[in-house]
Amino acid sequence: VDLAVRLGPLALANPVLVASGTFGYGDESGDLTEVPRLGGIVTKTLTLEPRAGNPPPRVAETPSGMLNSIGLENIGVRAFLRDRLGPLSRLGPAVIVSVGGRTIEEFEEMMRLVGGADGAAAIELNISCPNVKEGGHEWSASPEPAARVVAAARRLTRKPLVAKLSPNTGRLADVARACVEAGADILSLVNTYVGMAVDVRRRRPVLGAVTGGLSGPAIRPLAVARVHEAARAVRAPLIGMGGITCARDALEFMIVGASAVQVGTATFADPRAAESVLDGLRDFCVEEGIARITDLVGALRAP
Amino acid sequence: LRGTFTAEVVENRAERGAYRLLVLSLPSVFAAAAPGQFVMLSPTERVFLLPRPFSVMSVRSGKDGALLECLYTRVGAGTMFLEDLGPGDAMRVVGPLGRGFDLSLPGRAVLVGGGRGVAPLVHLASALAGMGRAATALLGARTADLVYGAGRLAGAAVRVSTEDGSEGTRGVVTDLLAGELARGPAAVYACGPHGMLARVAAIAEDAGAPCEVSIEAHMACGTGVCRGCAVGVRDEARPYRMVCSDGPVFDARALRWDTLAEAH
Repeated sequence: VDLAVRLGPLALANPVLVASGTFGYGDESGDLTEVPRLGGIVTKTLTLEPRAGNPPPRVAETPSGMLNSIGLENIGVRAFLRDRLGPLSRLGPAVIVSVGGRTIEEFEEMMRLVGGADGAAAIELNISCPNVKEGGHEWSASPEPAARVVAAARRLTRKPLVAKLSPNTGRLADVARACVEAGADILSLVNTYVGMAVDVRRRRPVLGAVTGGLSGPAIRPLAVARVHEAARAVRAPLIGMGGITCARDALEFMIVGASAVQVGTATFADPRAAESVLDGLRDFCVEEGIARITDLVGALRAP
Repeated sequence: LRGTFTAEVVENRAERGAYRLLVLSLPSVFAAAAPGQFVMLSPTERVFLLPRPFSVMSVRSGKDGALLECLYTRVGAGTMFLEDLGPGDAMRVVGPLGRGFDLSLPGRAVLVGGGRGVAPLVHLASALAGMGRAATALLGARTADLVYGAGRLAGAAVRVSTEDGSEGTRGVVTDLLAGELARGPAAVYACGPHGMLARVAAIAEDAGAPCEVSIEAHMACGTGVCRGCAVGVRDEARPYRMVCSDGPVFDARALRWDTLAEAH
């Protein structure tokens, strides 16, 4: 079975990536899973300066899902480029560096640093984090700010550019089109849904930051619908994610139009979750007599 | 040393009171798990979403590998699932994880356990006994049936307190601590409810005794990558540490106790 996929300018050995924020900087889990087997690694989102993150508690389990409000805790882009990217890029999988910013100027400064960095196969613009006061998911809540970030980044790099979109908008199709028109090569979706849980005895929010982002199987049907919507809005390649735990889940995203998928929350219970998804995709293709995984991308039939 | 393993349940039995003991069979490398380290347990067939952290209560070499003991009580969906496991069932184990106790602290070891917080102290007592170090263990709980492990603390002199006086001294375990520390230089190792740990830390500080505490947090990954189990520390430059990868054992003086929630 040929599992290789091509997303515009980005070629991947297979369509299974690990999602930003669930795999650290990519170089920490080599003893827990076979990292070289992954199609790609999306790093923890990096910001221009290091961030301490949000006050605890930062995570809570909810039915078939989890809420998180980490608040983009990260070591900062300079430390990442100095200490982590080199070794990471030698592990094998394509390294997609995730960046976030509060202003267009911050994104531009980030792009000057990572836009030509050796070892970065692509750059994912995190314009969809629900857990920061500035520079979060409002970037991709409407087409204009999303396009401004993408256009600014496009001017400063020739690397494949991925725009990661928020589902917390009624204008997803417009945002998707605006990002592609502004120069995004690839769209990835969805980031987490805004959610909240309440400790009823203490009458307090469960999370220190009050609200958080909901991920896990609870959001999968919602996410599949958003990827389906984006696939009908743009011709650019898509990376689908949202509650993927097994190959069957990944296939739903691929059949509605995603060329690749990211596995996130499932990695917490099983560091080998992405590998299991990959094995399952190969098995499915063998069972179905499919020679190339790309034959399944957008293979959705009429109901 | 750490890894992702599929373990087999060897035994899952009811112990005193509400306590239960889960015994898992793992590859022999696991026998090197250090006192204070923990494991993330989850079903191999995903029933609940996130793995659950448990202290290594003991680990020993068995005939085909290592046997790991975890102590638990039913507190929620995860532990309810554990109750139903039987011999031969499979569990996913990620570990051993985290930074354990510093066995080189000077002085007599004083172990303080609250309720099921005794679990990591069992492994610690065994390691201290192996080093020939004297240890005293103070175990506290609300009632006698919540006291566990007095017979499992290798070589340690054990004193028990219960709030209702149904076993040992009536009162809270921290009442025993100041007197214990007055007997000479000691190092304190504690695990239990965070309110108890805050009092242990204050008493140790007053006595000038080094003190390490093993704390709890809701976790997602257990390995440091998700940054979810933050705890506040007295460090303006880096105000948070991760319970899973910087801990779960911390120098008590480093913690900002106001940021610690009770995990359950």
